Amino acid sequence: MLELLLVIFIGWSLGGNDAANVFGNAVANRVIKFRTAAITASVFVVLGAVIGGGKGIANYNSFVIVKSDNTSMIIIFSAAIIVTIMTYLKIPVSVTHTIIAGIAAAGLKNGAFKTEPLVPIVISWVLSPVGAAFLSYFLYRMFLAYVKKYINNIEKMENFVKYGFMIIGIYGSYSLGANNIANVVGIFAHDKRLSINEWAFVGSLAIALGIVTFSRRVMDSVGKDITQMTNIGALIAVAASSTIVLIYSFAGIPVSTSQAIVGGVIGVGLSEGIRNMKVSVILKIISGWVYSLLFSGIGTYLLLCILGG
Amino acid sequence: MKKMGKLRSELGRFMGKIEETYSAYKSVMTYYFVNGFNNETKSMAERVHEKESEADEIRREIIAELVRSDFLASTIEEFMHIVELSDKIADAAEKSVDNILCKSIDSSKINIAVLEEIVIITETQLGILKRALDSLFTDYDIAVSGAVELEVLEHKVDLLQRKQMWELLEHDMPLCDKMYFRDFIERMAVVSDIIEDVGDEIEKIAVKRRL
Repeated sequence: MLELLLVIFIGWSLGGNDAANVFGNAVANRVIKFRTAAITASVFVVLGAVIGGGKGIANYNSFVIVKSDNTSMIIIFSAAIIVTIMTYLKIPVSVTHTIIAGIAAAGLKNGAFKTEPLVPIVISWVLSPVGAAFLSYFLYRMFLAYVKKYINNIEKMENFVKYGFMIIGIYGSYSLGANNIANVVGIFAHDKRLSINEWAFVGSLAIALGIVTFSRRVMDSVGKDITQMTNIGALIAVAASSTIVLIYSFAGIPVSTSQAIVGGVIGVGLSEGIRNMKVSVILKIISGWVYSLLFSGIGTYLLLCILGG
Repeated sequence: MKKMGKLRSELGRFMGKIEETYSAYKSVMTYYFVNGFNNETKSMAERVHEKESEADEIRREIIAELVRSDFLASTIEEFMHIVELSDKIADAAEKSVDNILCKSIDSSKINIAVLEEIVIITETQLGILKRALDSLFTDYDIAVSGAVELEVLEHKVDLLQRKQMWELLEHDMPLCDKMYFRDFIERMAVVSDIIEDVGDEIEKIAVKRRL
């Protein structure tokens, strides 16, 4: 029962923070109403988690250094607190980072710290935003070269932007569910009390709850603040980051959608000219990731000392 | 999209009403240059006011529709700005007519041919403006080339205005008459300036969305 509550807590906080990575630009620029975005994201996060999240959930136990129920609960609790606070402060944060920091802290506390299980995830911290940046840069150049000339009046532009944001939003929500469900339930799913699909369903409902009730705060932060992007640029950034996240879900490695979208936005920004990017905002977001790592690691360590694990 | 089609049609109706306002203005000026101020001039001037009010009514309808619409925020903002700016064309024509009536200017002292040419060029500009605005819904490139044409014509009006001003300076009429006429000519030419400003806005929209 306690594990279920923690799954709901972490899922809710993840939904509150990460939905902005998919629909943030559309809602902030008033292309799509928040209510429509929240409902759409919720439905497709659940589908993504159930249909595409199995490999990540099954794989997750290989990242966990200290395999103990008590330790797992403390890790998740600590991570959920950090993510909730960061969401309240409107800072996009990586749920993957916070959980991995907790796993590493648990390893340190128990004198069992090992780097090998965490290597694939840490590598993904570099490769996912870089990959998203490259992909968005490439997609944007392709768009300018081959597609732009067909969108030559206001009506076509309106249709392209509105339908584009909805389609990409659906795609992004699906990949968010497929990849990040492992962060929500992966640490508990090894005990086979529920099947992987059942875990995925429960966890994704928690994410959906977070999207509907708590995601509005972060939606303005992503995209709009880093660079003044056109609607097309925002579309491409989300498409690129969602693709990278989906690729990692096929590999069974949970990645940070927040990192991926920042990479996507940077790629578009580089296409439009580096002088348009607000480096200070990028640094602020990166520092948010570092703080979430530190606070989650320290928080987990302290909780383990107090509660034992 | 039906709503986009409706916006396009309403903007066309609005610009048509602006053209009617200016056409009524042209009729007043043409009559006034030949016959001076009389009851017929007054009644023709009234028609300019009526047309301007009708244009105002359509403008309010368009603004209300835009506020209620689900267009992109940038689209709503841009078209509200275009409509407000275009309304100034009709306002300027109305004020110019009131200017004649209030001051009862003796038009025999100025070069009527130059003033008539200013009015004809301005009327042509209005037609181009209407097509340029409509082209935002079909092809940005046509809208941009329309805006460029408007600039060229506005420059011609500028040159005519300057020519008339120089003639005024060299005339032997009293200074106060010169000031009246200077004001009169400026009010006639300002309509062309405003049309060019609207053209600039159309160009900005088209160029920004092409990027």
